[in-house]
Amino acid sequence: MKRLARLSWRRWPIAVKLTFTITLSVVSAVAGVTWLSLNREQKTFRHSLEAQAQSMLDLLAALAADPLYKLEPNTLSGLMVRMGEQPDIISGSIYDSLGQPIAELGQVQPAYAVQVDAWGEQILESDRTLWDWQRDRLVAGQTVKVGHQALGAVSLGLSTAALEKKMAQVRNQGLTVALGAGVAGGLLAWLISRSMTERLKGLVDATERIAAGDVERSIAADGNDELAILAKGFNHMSDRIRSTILHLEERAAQLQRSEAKNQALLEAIPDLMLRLRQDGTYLDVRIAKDPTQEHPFSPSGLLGKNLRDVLPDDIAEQTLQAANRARKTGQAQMFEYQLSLTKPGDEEPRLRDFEARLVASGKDEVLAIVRDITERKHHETQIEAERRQLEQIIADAPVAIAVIDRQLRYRAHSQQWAIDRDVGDKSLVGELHDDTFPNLPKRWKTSFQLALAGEKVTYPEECWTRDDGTKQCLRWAVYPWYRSDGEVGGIAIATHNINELVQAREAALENVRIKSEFLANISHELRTPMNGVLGMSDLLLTTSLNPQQLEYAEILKTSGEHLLSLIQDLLGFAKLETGQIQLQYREFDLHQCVEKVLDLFSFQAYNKNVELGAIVDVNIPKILMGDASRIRQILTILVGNAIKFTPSGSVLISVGVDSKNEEIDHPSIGQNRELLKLRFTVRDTGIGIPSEKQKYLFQAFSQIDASSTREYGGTGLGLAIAGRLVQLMGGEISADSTPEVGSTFQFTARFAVVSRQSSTQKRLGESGPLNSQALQGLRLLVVDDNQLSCKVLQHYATIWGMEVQETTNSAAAEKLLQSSVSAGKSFDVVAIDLAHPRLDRQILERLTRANGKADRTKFIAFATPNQSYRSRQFLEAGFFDTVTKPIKASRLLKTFLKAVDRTSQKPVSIAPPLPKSIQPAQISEQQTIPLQSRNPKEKAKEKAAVLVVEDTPINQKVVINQLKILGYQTECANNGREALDKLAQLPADLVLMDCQMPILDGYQATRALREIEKANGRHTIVIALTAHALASDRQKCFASGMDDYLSKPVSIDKLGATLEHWLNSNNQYNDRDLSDSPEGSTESAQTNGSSQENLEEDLNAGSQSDGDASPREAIDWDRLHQVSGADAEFEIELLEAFVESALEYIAGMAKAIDENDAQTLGRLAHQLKGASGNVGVPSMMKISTIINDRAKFHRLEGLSDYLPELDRIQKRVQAVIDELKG
Amino acid sequence: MFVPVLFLALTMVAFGCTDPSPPQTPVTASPTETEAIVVGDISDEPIETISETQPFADYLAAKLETFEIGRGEVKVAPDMETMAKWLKAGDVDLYIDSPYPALIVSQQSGAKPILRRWKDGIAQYHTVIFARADRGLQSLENLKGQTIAFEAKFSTSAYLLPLAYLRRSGYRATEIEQADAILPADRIGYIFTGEDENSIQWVISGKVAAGAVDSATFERIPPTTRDRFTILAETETVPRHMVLMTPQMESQRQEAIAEILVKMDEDPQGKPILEAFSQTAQFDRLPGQDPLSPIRELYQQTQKP
Repeated sequence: MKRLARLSWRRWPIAVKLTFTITLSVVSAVAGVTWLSLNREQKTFRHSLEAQAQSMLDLLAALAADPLYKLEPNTLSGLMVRMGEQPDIISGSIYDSLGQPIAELGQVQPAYAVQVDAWGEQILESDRTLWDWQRDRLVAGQTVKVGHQALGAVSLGLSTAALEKKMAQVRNQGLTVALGAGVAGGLLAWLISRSMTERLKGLVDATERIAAGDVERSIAADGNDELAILAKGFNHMSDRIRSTILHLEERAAQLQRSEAKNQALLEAIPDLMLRLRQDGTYLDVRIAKDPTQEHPFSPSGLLGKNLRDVLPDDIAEQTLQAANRARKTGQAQMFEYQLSLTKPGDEEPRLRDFEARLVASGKDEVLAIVRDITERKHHETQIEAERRQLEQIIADAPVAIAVIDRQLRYRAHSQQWAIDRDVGDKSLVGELHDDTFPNLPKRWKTSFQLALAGEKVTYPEECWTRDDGTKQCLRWAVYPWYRSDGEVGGIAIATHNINELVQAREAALENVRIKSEFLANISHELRTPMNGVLGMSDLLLTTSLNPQQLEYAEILKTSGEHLLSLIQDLLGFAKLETGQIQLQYREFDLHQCVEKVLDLFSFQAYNKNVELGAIVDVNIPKILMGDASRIRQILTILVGNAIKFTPSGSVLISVGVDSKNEEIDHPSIGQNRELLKLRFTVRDTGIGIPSEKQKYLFQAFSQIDASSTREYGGTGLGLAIAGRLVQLMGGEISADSTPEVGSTFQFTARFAVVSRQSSTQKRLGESGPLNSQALQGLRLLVVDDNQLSCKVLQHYATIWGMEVQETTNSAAAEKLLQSSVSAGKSFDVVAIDLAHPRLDRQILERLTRANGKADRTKFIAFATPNQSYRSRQFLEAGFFDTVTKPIKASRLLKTFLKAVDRTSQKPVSIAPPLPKSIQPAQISEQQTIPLQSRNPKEKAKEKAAVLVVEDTPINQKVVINQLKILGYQTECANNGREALDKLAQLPADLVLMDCQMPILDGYQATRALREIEKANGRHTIVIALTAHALASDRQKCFASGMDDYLSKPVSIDKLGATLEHWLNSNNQYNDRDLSDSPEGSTESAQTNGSSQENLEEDLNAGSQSDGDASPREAIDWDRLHQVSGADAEFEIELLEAFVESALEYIAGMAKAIDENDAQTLGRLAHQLKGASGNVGVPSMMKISTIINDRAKFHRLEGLSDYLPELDRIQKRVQAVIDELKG
Repeated sequence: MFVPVLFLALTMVAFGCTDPSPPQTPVTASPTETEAIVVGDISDEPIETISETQPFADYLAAKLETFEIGRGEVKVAPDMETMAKWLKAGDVDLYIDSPYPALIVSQQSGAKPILRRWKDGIAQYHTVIFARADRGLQSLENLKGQTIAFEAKFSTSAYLLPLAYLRRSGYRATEIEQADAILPADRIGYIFTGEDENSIQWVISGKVAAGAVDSATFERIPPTTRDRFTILAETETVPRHMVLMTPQMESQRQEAIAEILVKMDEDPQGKPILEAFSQTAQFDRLPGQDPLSPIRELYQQTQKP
C-alpha cells in the first residue's frame, strides 16, 4: 500500500506531471488523427467502391435486360463470364423474376436453379440498389426493369482487399508518428516543466512570507510569459492587500464618527423609542422630549422589565405579535392602541392614542417607536364627521347630484341620482362612473375632462337613446371641486330630468306639424276638384248663355279662382311651415328673373291699366348664385298684391345693392364666396295700408279686413309666405305704406357672387353679344305720357350712354324732331308708346314726316300685350320694331342695338302673309295675331325642329299649321313607335306628344325615349299635348319623363309661348322644380274634368238652343281663327278635314255601340273630342267627351241617343263649309 | 455472335476503348474458283460456324488430293431452302445436320443421306418432355390449355419429335406467339424459345408449363435441378446428325468422302479435328435404303392439323 501511495498522482512533482501529461496528449492527438484518417479513408473508399459497383450494376442491368426478358440463360451466363474477367468483381448472379439464379459469376453453364435465392428475392422487393458490406467484399444488387415490369435482378460482389491494404498502411504510419511524437513531446515537456518549477518555487516562498505578515517585499517578475504575469499579479495582489489594510483602518475611524452622529439624531426624535427582546424584555428605552407627547414611562422604570408587566395584556400581546411578525418578515409593523393615562392634576384618567412601529433590529430583538397621536386622531374624527354630514346632505338633496373624484369614482351622490339612473337603492359610492354608465355620450366624457381642468360646463338640454331604447333628456352641469391644496379633486355633476318637458314640447311641435301637414294634404286634395270646377266654368262661359246664366257662370269662375288661389297659398304656406321647402342654390340671371315676373303680370297689369316696370342696379353682377325660383315667388306675391291693390297707376320693381358682406363658407353655396346683399323694392301707387294694420301684414291669414277679401280676393297668406321665404334666405322684409298714396314693400336677400368672371363683365350690356358700347352718345327721343315707362327708359338709356329727351305728347315730339333735324342733330332712335290715347296713324305719319330725310332715325313702338295688330300696322308704316310692355331691359337693349346697327336693314317680316280674305283692317285688337319678331331669337325658330306625335289627322293639321305660323319646322308621326323611329333618324329640338295613341301611347313612347337618351346623353324636350287635363294626368305626364304639359285645344299664343320658353331657355329645364310648384308647368291645369252630369245638362241646354241657331254658331270662330292664324282658306281646309274625320268617327262609334265595344268607342270618342276641340266645334266636343267618359266605365246604354246630335252638328259644320266656299 | 459483340461493348464501356470500327461479317471463308471440297451448314452465326468447321473441311480437302481438290471451304446458308438450292446446284458438296432439316433439304435438293454423325459423342437421341415437379403436372393430359417450349422450327429434337409425339398421342397442338397467350382448354400451345437452354430456363422461371429438349441436353441439367422436374414423356430415338452429299457429285467421290469420314476417328490427325468439330465421336454409315423414312413419317405427323 505504501508503494501504491508513493505512486499517487498528488505526490508526483509538477515537472513529472507536466511531462507525463504533455507526452500523453501528443500521443493521443496523433492516435486521434490517425483514427480519423483511417475513418475518412474507409468512408472515401467505400463511397468510391459503391460508385464503381453501381456503375457496374447499371451496365450489367442494361446488358442483361434483353436476355432476361427472353430468358436466355446462355447469354446471361456469357455476360457473367465476361464480368468475372474484371479484377475487382469476385462474385455475381443474375436472377429471374422469381429470384432464382439463372447465371453465376465464373460459371459458363446456366445455373438452372429451381430454388429462390434470398438475396435475389430481397433485391427484387426493393426499388433501389441494395448494399451488403461483407468482410471481404461489397455485394450490391438491383432490379432489372422494363417500364414497371421487373424482369429479374443482378448482383455483383466487389472485393474490398484494396481497402484493407490501404487501411493497414495508414494504421502503420499513424503508429510510427505517434511513437516519435511521444518521445519528442516528452523531452520537450520535461525541459519546459523544469524552467517553470524553479519560478514557481519563488512564488511559493513569497506566499509564505505574506502569510507571515510580511507584505512589504516583492518577487522578481522578469519576462512576459504567464509565470512572469503571475509574479506581477502576485506583487500587485500584495500591494492591494497593503492598501486595503490602510483603507480599513480609515473606515473604522469614519464609522466611529458616524455612530456619534446617529446617536445625536436619535436624541432628536420626539417619539418613545424602545428596544425589545424576543420575549418582551426592554433592552433600551429613549423617552420623547416632545411636550405634546405623553408617555407614562421612565427609562429606568422599564429597563430589564417585560412589557407584559408594564402594558395591559391585550396591548402587550399585540406588541409581541407585531414584534414576531417584524422579525419573521423583515418588514415594519404598525398598529395603534389606546392607553388610559392619568397625569398629576387630572381628576380622571384620559384616553390617549398611540401609534407603534416595530422593525427588526437584530436576530432576537426589535426596535419600537411609539408616538402619541391623540391630537391627530381628534382631528381625523372631526373631519370624518363633517364628511359624513356632507354626504348626507348630498344624499338627501332633492336633485340628482353626484360627486366624483379625479379617477371618476363616486364619492357621494344623491338618492335622486340613483333613481334617475335606474339603479334603485344601490349605492354607487366607490364605483367607477364609466363602469356604472359605460355608454355615456362622448360629449359627457369630454365635459368631465373640461371640468377636471377647472371649467364649468352646462348643457340646458341633451337627449339620447339609452340601451333599452328609451329616450333620455337631461339638463345638466358639471363643476370642478377643489381640495384643500387648491387642486381640482374631482367633479360634481348635477342633472335634471327634463323628459316630460321635452315630450311636452315635442308633442306641441308635432301638433303644429301635423296640423300643417294636414293643411297641405287637404289643400292638395281640394285643388284637384277645383281645377275641375274652374275648367268647367271656362267651358260653360264658351257656350251660349243668357245674361243671367252668364253672370252666374262668371261668379262661379271668379269664386273658383279665388278658392283655388286660397288653396294654393295654403299649400305653399303649409309647406313652409312644415319645413318642406329647401332652398336650391344655383347660378341665375337676376335680370332674367325680374323680367319673368314682368312677363307674368304683363296682361294683368294691362287689364287694370297699371303701368309695370323694373329697374335693376347696373352694379349688380348679371349672374348670381341663389334660389331664383324663390326670389321670383316673393316678387310674384309682392307684385301681385301691388297690382291687385292699385286700381290704376304704376308698380315699379327695383333692385339695388344693400351691402357687401365678407366671404363666407356655406354648404349650399360653396367655400370662400363673396356675399352680396340685395334689396328688392316693389313700389305701387295703390290704395295703401293704414299704419295700424301694417304690423299684421306678414302674419298668416291677416288681410287687412274682411272687406278687402271680398273686394280684392286673396287668402292673406301671400305676404306671410313671402315673409317666411325671406326669412329662409336670411333676409328681412318690411312694408311702408301711406293710405291713398301707395305702398312700398322691401326685402333683402343674400347671394353669392359667381367668381368665374369679374362682376363688371357680367353687368347687363357690358359683355357678350349685347355690348352697349355701340349706343354711346346716340340720341333717343321718348314719346310717352307714362312716368314709369319714361323713368325705366331713361334709367337704362342713360346707363348705356344715350342722350335722352322725353315728351308726353305727339305735338311736342313733332317739334323736337323738326328742330333736331334742322340742327343737324337728328335723333337716332325715337321710341313711341302705342298706348298713347291720341296716337293714330295720321300722327305717326306726321312724326315721320317731321323727321324729314333723317333716314338714320329708327322709330320703335312700345305696345301693350294686346296690340299685336297695331304693332303690325306700325311696322308696315315704317317703324323699325316694336317692344312689348312692360319694358324689359334686355329686350330694349337688343332692339336699340339692332336699330343703330348701320349694317342692318329693316327687319323683314318672316310671318306668313295674312289670308286674303282677312284684311288687317278687319282684325280687331282683341284678336291675337302672332307678331313675328325680327330679332335673332325669332329667326332661330326657323331652325328649331318640332316633331308632332298625333294620331288624329285633324289634330295633326291644326298643330302643324300653328307651328308653321309660329315659324317652326315640323315633322309628324302617327304614334309613339313612329315617333321613336323618326327621332332615331333625325333628332328633334322639341316633341309635342299626344298621350293616347294606338300602337305606342305617348307615356310609353316618352319613357322609351328617355331610356334611349340615357345612353346618348341627350334630352329632347317633350311636351304633352292632350285632352286629358286633370292634375293627375299632368303628374302622369311628368312621371313618364315629359317636360311640360299643354291641354288641347291649345291656342297658338299659348303654344308659341310654351315653345319659346323651352327652346330659348333650355336651362329652365334644369331649374324647374316640379315638386314645389303647381305652376311648375307653363300651363296651370285648366281642366275640363267636370262632372258627367254637368256636361250632360250643358249638352241638353246646348242642343235645345242649337235647334234654331245658325249653322255658323256651331263653330267657335275665335278658336278656329287661333288655330288657323285667321287663314280663311286653311280654315275651310281644316273644317273639311274635320267633317271627313267626324263622319268616319261617328260611323265607327255607332258600330261600336251596336257591338257593345267600349274600348273602340272610347278611342273614337277621344279622337273626335280632340278633333272637334281643335277646330272649334264645342258642341261636338262635349258630346264626344260624354261618350268617351262613359265608355271608360262601360256605360254604353243610351249613348246611341247622342249619335243623331253628332250627325246634326256635322251637317251644320258642312253647311258652314258650303257657305264659306260661296 | 451476339455474345462477343456484347463483350466488346462491355469492354469498351468498362475500359474506355475508343476504337468503334464494327466487325465485318464475311459470308464465306474463301472464294471457290478452284477445286475445293465445300462443306455447307445452316446458321445465323456464320463466323463461328466457319471457324468451327473450317479444320474439318481442310482435313477433307487434304484427304481428297487424288481428286485434285486443293482446299476445303465452308459455306453457310441462312435457311434450308438456300442450302437445298446450293446442294442441288453442286455449290455445296457436303451438308451435315440433324434429321429434320436433313429431310427437308434432301426433299428439295435430291441429296441423299449417307452417313451418321455422332455429334456430341452420341449416335442418336430422343426428346424429353418435362415440367417443374412443383407445378402439379403429371402427364401430357395436364398440358391441355398450357404451353410447352420448343427450341426452333428447324429443330428435330425440340420441334419435330415432340410435336409429332403430341399429335400422334392425340393432342391438338397450336403454335403461339406469346407465352402467356390464353388457350382453349383442349389445346396445347407451343412456343419457340430459340435455344434448348432457353426452354429449360423458361420452365424453371415458370414462363411455360413444360419444355421439350433432346435427351443429351436434359442430361446436362444439374442433378439437383433435374430432380425437381417431372418427365411427362420421351419420344422415339433418331440419328443425331446426318451427312448429305450433293447429287451433282459423282458416286466415286461420294464413296471416297464417306470412306474418309468413317475412318476419320481412327486417324490420329482426324480425331482431334473431329472432337473440335462439336465433339463429334465418329461418322458411320446409315442403315437401310431410306434412312429418312422414319423422319418423314414424323414430319407428316406434324403436318396434320
